[in-house]
Amino acid sequence: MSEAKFKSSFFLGCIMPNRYPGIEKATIMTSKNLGLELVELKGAGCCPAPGAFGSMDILTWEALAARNVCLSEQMGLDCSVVCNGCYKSLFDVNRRLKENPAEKEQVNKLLKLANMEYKGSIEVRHVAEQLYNDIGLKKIRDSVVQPLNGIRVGVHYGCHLLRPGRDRSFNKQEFTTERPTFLDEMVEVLGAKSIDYKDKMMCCGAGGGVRGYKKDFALDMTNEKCKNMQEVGVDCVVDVCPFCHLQFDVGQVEIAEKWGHKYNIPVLHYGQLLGLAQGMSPDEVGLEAHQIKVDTLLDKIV
Amino acid sequence: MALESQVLNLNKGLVNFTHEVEKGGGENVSVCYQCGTCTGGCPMGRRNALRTRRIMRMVALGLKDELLKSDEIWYCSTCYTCTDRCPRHVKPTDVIIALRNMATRQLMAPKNFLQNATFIYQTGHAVPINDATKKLRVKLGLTENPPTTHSYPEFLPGIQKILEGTGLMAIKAQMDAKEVKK
Repeated sequence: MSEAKFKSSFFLGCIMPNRYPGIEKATIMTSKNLGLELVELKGAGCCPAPGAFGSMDILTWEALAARNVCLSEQMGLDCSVVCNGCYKSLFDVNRRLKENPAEKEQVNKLLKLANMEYKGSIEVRHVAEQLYNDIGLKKIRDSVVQPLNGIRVGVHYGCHLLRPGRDRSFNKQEFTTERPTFLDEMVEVLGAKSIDYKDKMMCCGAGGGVRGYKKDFALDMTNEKCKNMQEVGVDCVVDVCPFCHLQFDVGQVEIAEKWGHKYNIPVLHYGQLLGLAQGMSPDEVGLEAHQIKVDTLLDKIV
Repeated sequence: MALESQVLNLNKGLVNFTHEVEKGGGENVSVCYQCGTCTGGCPMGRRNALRTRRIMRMVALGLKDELLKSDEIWYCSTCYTCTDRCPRHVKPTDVIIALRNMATRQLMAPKNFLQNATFIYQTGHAVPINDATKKLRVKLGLTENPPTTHSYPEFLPGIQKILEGTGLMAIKAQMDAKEVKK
């Protein structure tokens, strides 16, 4: 199964490689096991953050995002991300520049300063949807060597992979914005159980620069999500975005300090959950970087 | 504000300002029929003063100054729930981002936003690496620095030229100067 049928460049972004490198390791290894080779993308930078950065100047946001896309174009490969924020920047800008020649020309004027030119020759993908749409549930299920023993998972889709639906092109029932199911299905084929909870599609609170500007507002949203998950009883929350990941992981510590609510819900990126199911050790998927300890969860699996 | 001055403001500002917002990415805002789907579904507005429908109305009324100096436009977490649900295909999230862009040009963006630009200018990353993560990367069998601008700083001048080319770094410098004066 190790022969790569699919290949794309791996855009890392900021928070994964610089805070939670276990997600990076797990994503590379698990994708390889499933026939998706993720190739090093040299010289990429911040996507840049759609809310925190795009809020200052859309054109600068577009040009820097296009620079990242160009690097992948130069390799002749589609570009894969594992962060919803990165997806918003790279996917949206790629689509906008392909559809709008005037915008493309404007961005290319800026890219010329970096000796680059955006062509519009590749697609931007999120690894989670690539695994679902290209590899398929059956192969994911077949790759499991350590079934997850029915652990109860609170799935957190995050925002920018799916919303706004009119600017996305999945065209599948499993990817609808109000009640998507693809990630729940991907969790369940690993032997875990996805548990419904109130306001499941709600934002983690961190985006749009709010975590940096008004942290209490961001944490209040995270608190509400954690409370809703705690009410139905989950063993962990599973995300597909390192920024949501950080907001749940670091955020729970901050919530405990500020307001005294202690949830202690372990936080895993889907790549890490898949890694555990494929037999990677907790150390190999980098769980030691997590603020919320995952021991109780691991006891249930192993 | 006196009613009189608001009327004046409307007459002068209406068309230009609304078009400016639409050109800045907030398309269709002029066809908003104030149904309130945006505010009703806004998870951030449940806990603070962000009222999306009100912002859409203020844009249509041309209340530029009030909007650009308001704190609320910076509360949106850009979850795009309103944009996803809007029956008139207005993009309230992008309207808010267009307003933030205008406020930035008037040197009214909160400091933390500009801080992002500085980090990217200096390192390529909004969240640069730290020593603890470097250690963990090595332990995991990854390269100590990721194969980004952290390993290939020769890509930084290109990023810096883009940031200078759009005028964003000049805005940052003006804001810093304003800060010092205070």
